[in-house]
Amino acid sequence: MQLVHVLRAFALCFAALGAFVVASGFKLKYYGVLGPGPGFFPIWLGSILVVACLALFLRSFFVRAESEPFFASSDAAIRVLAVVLSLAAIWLALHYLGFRLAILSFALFVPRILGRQSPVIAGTVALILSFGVGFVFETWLGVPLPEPAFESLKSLGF
Amino acid sequence: MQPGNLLYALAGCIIGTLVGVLPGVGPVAGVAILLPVTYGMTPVGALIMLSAIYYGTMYGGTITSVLMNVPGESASVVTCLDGYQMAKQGRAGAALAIAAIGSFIGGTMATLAIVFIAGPLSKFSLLFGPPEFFALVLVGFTLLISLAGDSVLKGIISAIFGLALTLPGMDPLTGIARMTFGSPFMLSGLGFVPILMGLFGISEILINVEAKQKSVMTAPLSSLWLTRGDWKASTWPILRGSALGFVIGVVPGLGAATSSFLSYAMEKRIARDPSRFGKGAIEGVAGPETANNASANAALLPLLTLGIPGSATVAIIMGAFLIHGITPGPFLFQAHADLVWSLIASMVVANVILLILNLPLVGVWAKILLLPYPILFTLIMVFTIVGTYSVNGSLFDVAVMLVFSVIGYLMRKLNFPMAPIALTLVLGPQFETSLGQSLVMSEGSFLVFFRSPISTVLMIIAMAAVAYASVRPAAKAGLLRLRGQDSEV
Repeated sequence: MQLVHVLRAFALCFAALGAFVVASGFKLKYYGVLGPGPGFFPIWLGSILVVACLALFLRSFFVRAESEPFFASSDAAIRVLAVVLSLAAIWLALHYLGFRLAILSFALFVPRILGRQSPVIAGTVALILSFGVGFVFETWLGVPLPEPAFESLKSLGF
Repeated sequence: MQPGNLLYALAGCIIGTLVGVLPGVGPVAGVAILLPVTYGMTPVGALIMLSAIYYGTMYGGTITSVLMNVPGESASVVTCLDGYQMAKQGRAGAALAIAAIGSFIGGTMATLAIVFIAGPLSKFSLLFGPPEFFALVLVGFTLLISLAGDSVLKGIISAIFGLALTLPGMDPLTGIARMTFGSPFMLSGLGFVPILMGLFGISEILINVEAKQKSVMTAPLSSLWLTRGDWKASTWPILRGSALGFVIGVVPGLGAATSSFLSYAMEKRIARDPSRFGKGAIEGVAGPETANNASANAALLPLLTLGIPGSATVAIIMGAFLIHGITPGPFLFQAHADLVWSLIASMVVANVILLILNLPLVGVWAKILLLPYPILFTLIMVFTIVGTYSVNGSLFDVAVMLVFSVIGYLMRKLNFPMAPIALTLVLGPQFETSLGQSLVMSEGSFLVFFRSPISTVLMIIAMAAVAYASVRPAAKAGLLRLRGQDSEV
């Protein structure tokens, strides 16, 4: 996958975003008696974004500088993808398992993707980041953190 | 300066230096990630701490440049050229010492300049109405777009994208809901804190993950004592760096990296023996490090007096102002004089703290570099998630942050300049409001922006910035062709 292909896809996505902003603007009032309406700014912004993105898309066919690969290696791609998926997973886990269990699993799993860590060190760090940080923020600082969705987990103190 | 505020300055300096030492986490990411830490503080305390974090990250980046040949942030790149060479010659301590002393002098001189200039400039800024403010913000946008990065088109897209992110929520002029998709979460907009943390904080982490950042052995530390020759060689570079850094820092879009590069180029050009540069010349550390710290301090001047952040990091600090219900700009000195002068006093104190703190503790900071990056990454992620969640107690904000971390990663990989997004994201609502108010005042005529001398001059500067950005690629190509022709001759 080359950088230039990703750039073109990105430009088209942003152009679509611009078109969406323009369309949203047309659903609102453009200009009223007292001055610009809520649709004024979105229509102009979205239009500039569409034009700029289409220009970037077209220019990508003439510029050779971006013909290098997007990822330096397949390992790099796997690392980034794994971390992004783990971030998505932690968001879901925060909903259902609450802060402590979600962070515990994240802190145990992610360092293993990024490099070999001693299980003892990884486990210690995971406990500190999940239960330690949870204790500091909720008990000392009074900052509420996500709670588990299941009563059984709540009753266990997670 | 109350004891509490002094403690915030101390904590900010320590945290900032720690963040700056971490490879791959620059001042923008550091300030973005630590922004939620300041929510529970008083406005004065929060701003003092964030400013101290900013200066601390600048110095922390120097440590990795000298000891590891890895710039902690863009303004420290040039320090690698001579700083690391000094370290290889067993003079790491001297390099770090002169960097600390130069940073202190540059930062203090810039702060003193702010003390004398801020008052008159803030009085002048009272002449600003909606057309003048719109024109001023436009100058900030166009300068950032024209100066940030090689592609003006990408700069425009970044800036417009940032403005587009401010659209969801309620229209600032009419209060009508806009692009909320019927969701109550969207009524207050997307929230710039999760966006900034994702775009600047986590995206930088993803870049480092891709590069498989890992801890590396550092060059050994030596004595911090400077010889008489070191002092003699560094005096004028420090003085020149202070002046240059201040001038560069005040102009939006140029940034601390520009000041450090220009200082290095200047010192090399006027040196008696330019061949020493790149081989451990202490002037190559003293000048740039002074300039980048002076620039970082000076960047707060346009923010405090005109409400225009001069860089992405200062834009995030402006976000902190807004979170605490304070609008920087023309009326800040009148409405919140105590806060402003406390902040300026804290800048002097923070520079002193950094000097006292960093010289003896440089060995401790070097040890942190031995922590495995996967552990550091996990630590940063957890604090980022906690920080984002604590804004509104909403997992929606965490989702926004994660989505924008991927967008930010893609934009960085595709070489989109990120500074315009920070500026437009923070200033977008005011930009739209001032545009609307101006058009109301003029009954729809855009000539309102050319009615007063101030707005006319500002609009001309904005148009000049656009013109410069348009011709720069062609001029650069022409220059390269000329040089190619010269070399053939």
